[in-house]
Amino acid sequence: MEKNEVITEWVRLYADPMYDWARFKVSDESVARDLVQDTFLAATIGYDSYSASSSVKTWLFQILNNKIVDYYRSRKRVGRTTESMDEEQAEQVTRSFFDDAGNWAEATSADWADEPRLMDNPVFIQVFYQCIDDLPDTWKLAVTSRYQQEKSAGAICKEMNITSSNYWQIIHRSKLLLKKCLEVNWL
Amino acid sequence: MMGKIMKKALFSCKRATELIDQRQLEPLSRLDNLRLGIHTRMCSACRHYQKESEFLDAVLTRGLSGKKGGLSVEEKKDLIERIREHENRD
Repeated sequence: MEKNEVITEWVRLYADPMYDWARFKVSDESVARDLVQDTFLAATIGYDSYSASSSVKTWLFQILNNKIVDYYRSRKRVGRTTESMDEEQAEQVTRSFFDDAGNWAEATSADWADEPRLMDNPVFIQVFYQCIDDLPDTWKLAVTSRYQQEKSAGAICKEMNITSSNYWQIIHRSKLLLKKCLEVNWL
Repeated sequence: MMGKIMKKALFSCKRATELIDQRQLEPLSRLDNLRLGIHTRMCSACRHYQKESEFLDAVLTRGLSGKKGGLSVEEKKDLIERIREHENRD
């Protein structure tokens, strides 16, 4: 198949879920459309560098997620207290949740989890996705692969070249960081 | 805070939170399930964490399955058109 035909096929197959995802993340239809377009343009340019080691969908979503991160970076961000961390820093933060005996180091009184209606609040969702953006890249990839692409744990582990116990540790630590980030940025 | 022996039998809070998240990905052994159940019943901080963990799951899942509409046929045509234009320009 010609490159053009392949890209057209990709648009047919993946543009809808990509658009839905982008719209959810940026809460703006026209921005979401632009991001999807930018993603396909980048994919067209990078077409030759695509290797079959990851699925097309994964590859396209990786590009899209980078575009979304760029989009948020380019905007003035309010109430942002953390920068995207490297894995080591992030692990240190999650360790600080507990003392040496494994008890909670400090009690939290945050009650965002008690308000299911928050999920419909676009401001909260935006804060939430800023928190996801702040995760170390590999963690972000693990989290988004799981939830956004409904991939099985086995497939994700294989793609990321990690063991399944590594994988759920990453998900666990990501959740601890998300919790902390929400406590700092939402309350 | 739980006594040392209790903590051994029913996990530390650190371990309990790991298992709370692990449980959403793969089933725990029956014994671990039981121990975790007792731990969370006794420990309000971990109960709270469990709630938060489930909430995070729900928000993340919703990102996937929430408002879905996709692009219209026209919009997709437009998109393909623009990609082609871009191609030909180079």
